[in-house]
Amino acid sequence: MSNDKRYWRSLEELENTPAFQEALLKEFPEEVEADAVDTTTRRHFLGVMGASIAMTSLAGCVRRPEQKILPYTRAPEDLIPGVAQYYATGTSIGGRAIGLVVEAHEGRPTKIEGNPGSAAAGVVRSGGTTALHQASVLNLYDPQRLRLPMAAGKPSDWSAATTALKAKAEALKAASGAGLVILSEALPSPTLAKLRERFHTAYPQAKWFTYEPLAEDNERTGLKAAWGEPVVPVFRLAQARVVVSLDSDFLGTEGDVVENAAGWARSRKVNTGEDRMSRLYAIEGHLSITGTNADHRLRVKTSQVEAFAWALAAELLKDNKVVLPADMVPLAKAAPGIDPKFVAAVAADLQGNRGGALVIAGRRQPPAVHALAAAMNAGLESHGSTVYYYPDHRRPATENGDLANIKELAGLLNGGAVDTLVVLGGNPAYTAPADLGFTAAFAKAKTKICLCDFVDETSKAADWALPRAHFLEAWGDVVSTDGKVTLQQPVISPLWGGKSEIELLALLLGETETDGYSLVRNYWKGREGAVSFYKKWRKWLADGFRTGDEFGVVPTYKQPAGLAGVTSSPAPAGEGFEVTFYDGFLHDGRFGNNAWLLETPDIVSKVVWDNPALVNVKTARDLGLADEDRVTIEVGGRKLETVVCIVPGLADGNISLQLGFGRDFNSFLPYHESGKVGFDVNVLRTVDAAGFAAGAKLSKTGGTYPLAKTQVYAKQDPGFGYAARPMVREATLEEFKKNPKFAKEGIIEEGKPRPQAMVVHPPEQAIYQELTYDGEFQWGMAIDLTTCTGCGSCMVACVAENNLSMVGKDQVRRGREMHWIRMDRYFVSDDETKPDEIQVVHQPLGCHHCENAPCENVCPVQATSHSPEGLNDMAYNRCIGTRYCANNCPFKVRRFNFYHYSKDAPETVHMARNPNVTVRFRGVIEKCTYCVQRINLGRQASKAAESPQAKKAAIDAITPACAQACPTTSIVFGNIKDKETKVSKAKAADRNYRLLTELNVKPRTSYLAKVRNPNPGLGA
Amino acid sequence: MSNANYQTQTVFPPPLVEGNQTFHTITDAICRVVEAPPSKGWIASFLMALLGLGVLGVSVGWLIWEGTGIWGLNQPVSWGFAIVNFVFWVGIGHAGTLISAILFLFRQKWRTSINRFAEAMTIFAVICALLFPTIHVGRVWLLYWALPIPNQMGMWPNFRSPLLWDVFAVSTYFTVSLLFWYVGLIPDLATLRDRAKSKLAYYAYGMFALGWRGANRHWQNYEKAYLILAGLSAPLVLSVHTIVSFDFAVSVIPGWHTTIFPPYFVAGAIFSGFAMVLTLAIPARKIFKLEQFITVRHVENMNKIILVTGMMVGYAYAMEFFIAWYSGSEYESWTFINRAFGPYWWAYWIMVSCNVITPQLFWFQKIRQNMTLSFILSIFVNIGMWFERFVITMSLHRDYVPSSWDYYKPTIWDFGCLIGSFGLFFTLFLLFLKFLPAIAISEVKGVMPQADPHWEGYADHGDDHGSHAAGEKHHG
Repeated sequence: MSNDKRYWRSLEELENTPAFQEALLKEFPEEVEADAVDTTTRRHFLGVMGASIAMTSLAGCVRRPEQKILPYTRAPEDLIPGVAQYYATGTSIGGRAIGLVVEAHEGRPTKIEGNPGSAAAGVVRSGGTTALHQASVLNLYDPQRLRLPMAAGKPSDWSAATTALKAKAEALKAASGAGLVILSEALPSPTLAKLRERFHTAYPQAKWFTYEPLAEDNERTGLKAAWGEPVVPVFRLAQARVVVSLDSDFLGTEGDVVENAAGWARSRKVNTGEDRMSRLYAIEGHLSITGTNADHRLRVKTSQVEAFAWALAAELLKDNKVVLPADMVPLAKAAPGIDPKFVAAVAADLQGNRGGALVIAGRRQPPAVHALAAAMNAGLESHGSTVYYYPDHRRPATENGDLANIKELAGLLNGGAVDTLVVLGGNPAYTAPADLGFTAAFAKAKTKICLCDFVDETSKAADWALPRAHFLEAWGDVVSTDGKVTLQQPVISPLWGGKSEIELLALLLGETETDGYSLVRNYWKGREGAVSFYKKWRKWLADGFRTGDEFGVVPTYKQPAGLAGVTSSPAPAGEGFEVTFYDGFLHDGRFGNNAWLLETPDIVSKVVWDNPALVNVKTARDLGLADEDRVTIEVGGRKLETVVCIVPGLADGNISLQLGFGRDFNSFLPYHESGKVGFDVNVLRTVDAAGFAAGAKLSKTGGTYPLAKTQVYAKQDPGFGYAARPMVREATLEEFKKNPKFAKEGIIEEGKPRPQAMVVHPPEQAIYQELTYDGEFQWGMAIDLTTCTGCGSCMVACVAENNLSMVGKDQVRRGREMHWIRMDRYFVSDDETKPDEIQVVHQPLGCHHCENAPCENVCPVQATSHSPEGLNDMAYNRCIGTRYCANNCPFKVRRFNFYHYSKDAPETVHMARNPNVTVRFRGVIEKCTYCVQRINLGRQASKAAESPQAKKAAIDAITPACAQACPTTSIVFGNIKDKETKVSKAKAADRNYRLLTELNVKPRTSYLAKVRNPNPGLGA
Repeated sequence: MSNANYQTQTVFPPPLVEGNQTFHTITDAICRVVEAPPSKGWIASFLMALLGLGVLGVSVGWLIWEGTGIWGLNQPVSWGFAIVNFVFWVGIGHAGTLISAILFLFRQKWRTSINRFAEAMTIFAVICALLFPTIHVGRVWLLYWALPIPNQMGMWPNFRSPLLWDVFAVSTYFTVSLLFWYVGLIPDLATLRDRAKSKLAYYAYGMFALGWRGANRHWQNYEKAYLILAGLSAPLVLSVHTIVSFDFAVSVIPGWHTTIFPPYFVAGAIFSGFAMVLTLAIPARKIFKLEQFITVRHVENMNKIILVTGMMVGYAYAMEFFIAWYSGSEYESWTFINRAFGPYWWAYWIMVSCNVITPQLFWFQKIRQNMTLSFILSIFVNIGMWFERFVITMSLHRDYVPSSWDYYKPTIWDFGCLIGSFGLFFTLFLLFLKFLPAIAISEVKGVMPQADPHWEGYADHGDDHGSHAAGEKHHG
């Protein structure tokens, strides 16, 4: 019975159809095979699995750095990851304030630009800055910054420091501040000034000294004599027609250089021969940035400039056209050794341009020269036109000058009168004149408190070394010399818990609110009143500056009082040597740990990572000196061992020494060792000879010292009797009027006609079909060589924007600097036998983005190719490093990563990097991209914009870093397809020319030829 | 060699093989070098070469570890010793193919005793040459991107780049030269197999002999293959250095952008190649007692070629100057003045002295026939040709914009790679001398008087000369 029972699964089985019989033999039912197994066979599966395992293990062989990604658990308001934010802020260097705009990525400030709106009324200012401002962002991320309060050299913390400070403050208050001294930098901060008033009230017997190492004592004393009160001159160079610089580097390092350079450039924009152009005379011993841009330059020793000034005064007085104060008249006389023809020509030029004439005295010159310059300006009716005098708000009128202050402080210290010395920033142990013996004197204070960036020469001996907040970390306010207030808005909280000067001061005063925000806000609220203050405050912060000028009505001074006791004894012309101290990219040394600035070549000598003693060709020949010879310089018994670098164009017998060097550089660069950089020339500097010192002796020490220069060959003239190469083309204004298209004819200098271009055969033809550029926009650049001062701001801006690697001295010496834009400098001389009678031309040179780019067709892997918009793009990831492109670049602008220059940077330095730009690695080529990241941002903005006007505006706003940083707006960039853009107009100008057109490379970068405006009366 | 022989030269050229050899003695004499234990001279030379190879290993290892920066390259001069060495070695590689292929096609029978030698030299020189473009790139590990390998990104190399043409030209040349050399070796490998005493040698030579039995069909196929390969190689002699010269000629740099470069480079290559053959052959014939195969006539012929190509090179130097002036390009003419009188004047005059002036001594028969002088002059040519490439490459140091001018100074690692490449070359070459027949046994036999069926020596043998000769070939 049971055998009869049938168990069946389906009707098919029951019926035992042939289909069922077939299905029974299959391992898997059809549906299953079709769905789950798909077409993959077992073998295929095993094959793929095996391969995957092999690949996984291969991938495992590559060691990837371990990185952590942290999310914003609480996202900041208004922050879109990947979109940069811009904050207005401001800072001051050496007492000179500037309004800035800071670019921040996810809370990290990465790039600094100028804030054009923050200039005072009537002042021309571009969005440019100096190189120092550009580089100051790296100071924020300097891995060597002081991270903790140090108690007598041992790490401590802020609570201990605060307790100790408060206790000290109590004790000092009880003694009404006797023995308390504050040494601060010249900080043009209204809040600080207010706190200083309160400080003097709380500690009536305490003293406060302001000290800037690049002292302006001479100006202060001289102008105090002339006007009866300490004032600072503010120049309006845009209105100037004739400018005479008496040893002043107003375009490079002295005063409000950004405004000065912008105004000067405005006065020299010549588009047609009809345009007015100012004329610049420079009388100097050193070859400064201003000197390199002068139409006429008189080489006299720095000590002789005073004699020149009096000779000029004498000439101006001749026809009674210029009135000078009575006590100046007897001193005004011609001097031996000063070319009377030159003096007469300058005087005539000044007289002929009354109201547009300007005499600027340099800070090295003695007070009498400043008083005289002010008197001459008054006599030439320049007041209220090219120059204004404002009260000096950086310190109370009662205070002395910088050097007098530091001298007095050293006296107090040595006399044991200082119980507590608070150094609010600055490094006097390094910067103070050598004759003060400041380091020894400093040790005599009982308690020494330093607010400092580093454990430096001063703070290493301090009882308390307190980390100072960077200006991007702290609240504050700065006011420009002409009275424009800019709020200093922090962009990041203090990385290492530093405090600002006002915060420390508030702490000392025992204020209830000691945070910077409250201090600044309460100060301004107190001034403006509580009514609608919040609205104003918000606006100021957004704009970056306070509405209205601090000083209200511009004070006008009509008649200077004269010398008022300031003596003048011009040094007699002599044969001996003298040293001139000048400052460059390190300022007074405060940028001494900034690799971006250390690797920016000196404007004239092109030396990086060193400060050789500069002498001219004649001096070098007389003494048998060669570049890199070690020498000893002796002044008044003080000795400096240094190295010589020959620079044509300095005055005979002048030795130029750059300040700020000779300090330890704590290297984070993989190919640069830590250690001393250059030579400390402060050892020769004394209170009485802080600007220049006569009676120097120069002797060969024997041996050589290597110098790294970024440019070895200094002339456009290639030698062997060949004509100079038409890289920088120039003409005088007269010649430009006669032949407006001189630049296009390949003429380097008018007067030496050169009818043909460099190549007389027909231009080269492209082998391949030329690319068609059909993009919506076509990018191009034009650089005006007439207004470019060679200041180097563009180079540092490029470094900051594009994450350029600094390579260190040894690598630069091997010719491997990585700058995408370099500053070519050529000397121009009329007479080969007078190598020191030179003029200088500067030429910023980056990738020219040739339309027929020679670099492109030689790359075997097509790592560099063109965009339809005319950009010569570089795909770093594709580059294998054959360097063929670099060889075939006729401009030699391509840079190769010979080593892994970007490796092992400290984490803080990573923070300085622009996340929109790839950090390059070893073995790849890199070069200027026209800041393609900015172009893309602009294009995105244009796409997102709704109206055609807004779309166009977004495109027109695209500015590469170099162009943005340029104080003189010499670099313009934009869409050349649109004929209305600035760059199109520049390119349409007569002066426009392109380099190496005979190669048919068709560069997108062009130059506007240099026009000089020499005095026809001088026949130069 | 007696002078009497030479007095009859015009009527009867001296024999290509001297010393009244038989087929057997030839086989013996050539195989002896391979089969005998290495001589002290060989061991000493080999150790020296190994030392050089070690230098190369360290130099290249450090280069790849640390980066291209260990060399003296800088911003205007992005190519230095590596490219100089590359062109130098490729040039040397030319003589091999020229002797093998072109002289073969022209039935220049004197080539037989030096062709093996020269081909081996070619192979090793091209290996040395290939080394340099490989290591000179910044990212060695990505060099394969320069090859047209299909990939998922659809990325292809740039077919307009002369460097890519180089990749094809040199690798083709290497492949064909290697095949040519190997095919020529097969009968001799069989000979060595048949004479082998040890199992290892028997199997090793046997494997590479590809079962060669000396059968008539084998010989027929062999001769055809050899002829085809010769035909293939002949144009390569011209193409390789032409394309190498494009690396320079296609650029826009004054001193590089020159249409004369292809013939000029080819002449220079043959010039340097023959000089290198002499540099190697003169000591080798002495050390391995092969004077009867590489005779004075061989050396003299090569000296004549050196004289001719040296003058061609000299003509090219003069023409470069003329064209630089005639072109009207100031950049161009200035560059040539700068070559002769600028910072690298010394390199230029070393080049002219060694390549143009000293080879003129070969106008004198006595010097052509003097082994010591020929050797010394060949070394001069080697030096001169290295400097020629150096001078050309250094056009980079001063090009258009004076601000970027600089000076290239090689470092110890540049020299390490240069010396090391000689180490590599000589290591390979000495191994070749020790393990392979340095002279083509079968081919030499073919040019002996005995190989002529109508040779007077066969008069006694009646009609069995054919089997006798074949037997000799077969049995070695």
